Amino acid sequence: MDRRLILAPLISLGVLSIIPPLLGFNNYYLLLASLILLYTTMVSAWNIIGGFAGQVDLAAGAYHGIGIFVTGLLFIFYRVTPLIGIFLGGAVASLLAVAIGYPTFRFGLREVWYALSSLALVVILYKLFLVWESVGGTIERYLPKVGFSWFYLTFPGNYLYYYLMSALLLAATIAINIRIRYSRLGYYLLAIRENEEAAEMLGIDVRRYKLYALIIYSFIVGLTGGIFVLMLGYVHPVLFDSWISIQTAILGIVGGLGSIAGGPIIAVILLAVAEYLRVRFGGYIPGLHQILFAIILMLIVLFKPGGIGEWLDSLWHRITARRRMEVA
Amino acid sequence: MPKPILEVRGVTKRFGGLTALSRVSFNVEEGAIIGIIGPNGAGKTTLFNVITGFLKPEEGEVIYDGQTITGLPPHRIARMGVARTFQIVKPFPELTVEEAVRVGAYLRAKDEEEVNDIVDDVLEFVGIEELRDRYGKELNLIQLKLTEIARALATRPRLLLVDEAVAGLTPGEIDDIIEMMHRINEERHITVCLIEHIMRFIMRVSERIIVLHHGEKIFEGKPEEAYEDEAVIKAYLGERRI
Amino acid sequence: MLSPTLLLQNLIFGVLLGSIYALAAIGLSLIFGVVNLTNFAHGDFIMLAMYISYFLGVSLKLDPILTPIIGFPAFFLLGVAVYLAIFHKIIRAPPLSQIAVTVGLLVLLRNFALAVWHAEPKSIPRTLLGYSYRLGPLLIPADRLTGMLISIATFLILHLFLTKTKTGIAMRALADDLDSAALMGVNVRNLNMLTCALGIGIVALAGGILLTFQPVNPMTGLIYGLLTWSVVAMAGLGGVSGILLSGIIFGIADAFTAAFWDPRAREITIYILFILLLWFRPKGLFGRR
Repeated sequence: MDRRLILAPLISLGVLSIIPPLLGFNNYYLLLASLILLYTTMVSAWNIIGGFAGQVDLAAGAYHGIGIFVTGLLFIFYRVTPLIGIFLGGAVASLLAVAIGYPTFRFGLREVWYALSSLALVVILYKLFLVWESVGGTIERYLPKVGFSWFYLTFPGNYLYYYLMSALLLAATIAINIRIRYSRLGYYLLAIRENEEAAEMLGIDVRRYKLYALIIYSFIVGLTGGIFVLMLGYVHPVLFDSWISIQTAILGIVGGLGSIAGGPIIAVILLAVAEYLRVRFGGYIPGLHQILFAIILMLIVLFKPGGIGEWLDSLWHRITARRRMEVA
Repeated sequence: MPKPILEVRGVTKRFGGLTALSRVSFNVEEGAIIGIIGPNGAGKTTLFNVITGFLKPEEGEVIYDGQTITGLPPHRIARMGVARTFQIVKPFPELTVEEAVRVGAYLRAKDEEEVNDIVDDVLEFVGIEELRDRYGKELNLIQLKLTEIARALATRPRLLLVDEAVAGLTPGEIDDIIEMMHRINEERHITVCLIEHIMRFIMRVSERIIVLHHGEKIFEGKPEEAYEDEAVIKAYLGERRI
Repeated sequence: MLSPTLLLQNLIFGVLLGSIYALAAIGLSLIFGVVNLTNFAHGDFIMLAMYISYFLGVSLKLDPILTPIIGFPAFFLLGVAVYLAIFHKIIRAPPLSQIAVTVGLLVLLRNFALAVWHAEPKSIPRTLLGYSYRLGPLLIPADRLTGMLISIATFLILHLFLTKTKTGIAMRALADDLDSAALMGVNVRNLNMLTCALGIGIVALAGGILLTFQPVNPMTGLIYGLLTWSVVAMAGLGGVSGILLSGIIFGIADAFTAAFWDPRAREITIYILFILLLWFRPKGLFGRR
């Protein structure tokens, strides 16, 4: 297992680093790839709260937006370098996460209340920043133009470095997934997902462990917001987007609850498809990729609830079974 | 006189207008096997729910190992050394038997090695070693019940509460469970408290039994004496399963 | 600035609005309580009803207050259709699956609205009930008053139905204890279907009236979804009258926010109320018995 912990992230980093040259270092593709990596990171992080702990979280849009605003505003108003700002964004996201998680993770409270408050959080933040003229308002606020700077993590016109940051974050998130899965935290989260009452009776403080998962997940999603705002170059309340929440949960579920590989794999594929659809048909049917995602989600939940993770698992068993037979 | 490991004092539990438990009191000495019986609806599972913290009683106290545990959350009570199986099995469908038992083992183990040791030990003790890699959703009833017992034992409890272990099992399987309860009690020195409404099982396992009826304790004593007791006979009048 | 007249006026607006919020939420409460189905798409059904009212208003020049005449039967049938096609399959599924499928439904409805009616908000010019009553210095718009009367009438009929008819009592039995109800010979499947049809049918009533209060756009579904769920949360297990009271509380909070803080901040107060409720009064929100 410890081998997996090092191999998987290294392999993914390796794979990811061939992409830029493959794309000819084209800026548009690098930007697109970076976005896909960031959204995929969100899905992998979501796996901790949704896949392991089994909680339906629809707050990714909120945590992502917090990362955007905290990093962006600190940079705009106080010239705080994103090197710090990004991590503060993650921290604030986690704080908000606990604010809605703490009351709703009470033992015995029905799942729907956490799901609802997580979705509500996105809308609250959107409206709040819309109304809060001094830091938000209706116009874009641009990040200061400091030219090419390592200190401020700004690389105008060149998305290669953001691509690398995103790739690193994804690899780290996958590694965190693996580390959690085979530890006490992971087993406790799975137990909570499978049967909360049985878990309580085995000595597991259900609320506390759900909060652990929530804090880790929301922190990582906050980080993605910090990187995103550097690429985008401005902040605007509309960036608190409920679709990001829904997309993350859909990809996590379709990838397979708890499957560490399933989520990222399906995320990369479907996000690329979504971009293609947006470019090709966006003029006629702006929400086509959303419709596609929704239909896939409903089909998977109704007919193959294990998601593609289940399919990957059986594939893996067939491969290793053959090897086991050969050895024997 | 050894101190009782569990003291239930005057526990009353009401659900709106319905009184499920009424001033129930009894003690359980450490190392004993006691049975709690009564017709359906007598309040047996409610009693377990109150003892293990899933419910708060309106009146009364529960004292475990000298400490008042009334109103504590279940996970705190479990940490103190109380384990439990459920009337309707609560399996982990997507986890293997080994993983399910692991969850229990993490409570006391200090490192991964100890976790592995506890898991191996418990799987072997309960006799489900060959089910190690089977998923919860693949198991039949007796296998699920055994896994649930193993999972509970992995928490290294001092008191084990067993809620209707043998409902739905064949006579042969019931005998296996009877034997296991004795082994748990004698080999592992765990105090066992069983709920049952099948008399045959409980009479062969318990040293002492408590009879509940409509939420009240109507008898406490040796199993054989229960057969003669008037109140018990009246309560079971109409029940064909004596 | 804070004259008593202004306060009272907004209180009236709040009560009028809140009674409609309650009407919008009662269908959700029924489906959640009786069928035990977590429907995240409820708000988008409300949005759909508003769009249909808009459509009928524009094409048939029908007054939005009157659209329920066509809307209710149409949405009743829609409820049956959705039950058979989707709800039926997820009733016994774990909450996560129910939430997932209904979120998918939410996305489909939202994008359907976007495709057909596009992103700009749509509203109906003031109805034939465009006048207002005067109560001293206070204004009571006739169309909103009519809306509240429709809402109260619906609640009364519903209350009588649930307490005096066999079917209604069976529904309440289902909400309390599924197993016993089934044992008593209640046809659970038909009752579930009826509840869904009723719940969604009532949405049509609310949709038409809501259109007179505010315009509709594809994102409205999300807003009303969260609002109606908040109303259900606050009502707890209080039954039909609990919903009415809860809706009015939210309506008043909404009106006061619009008048004294910022019209765009309406949702903020509502959701903060919801989150405060979760923190300090979650009694009605715990598991099914």
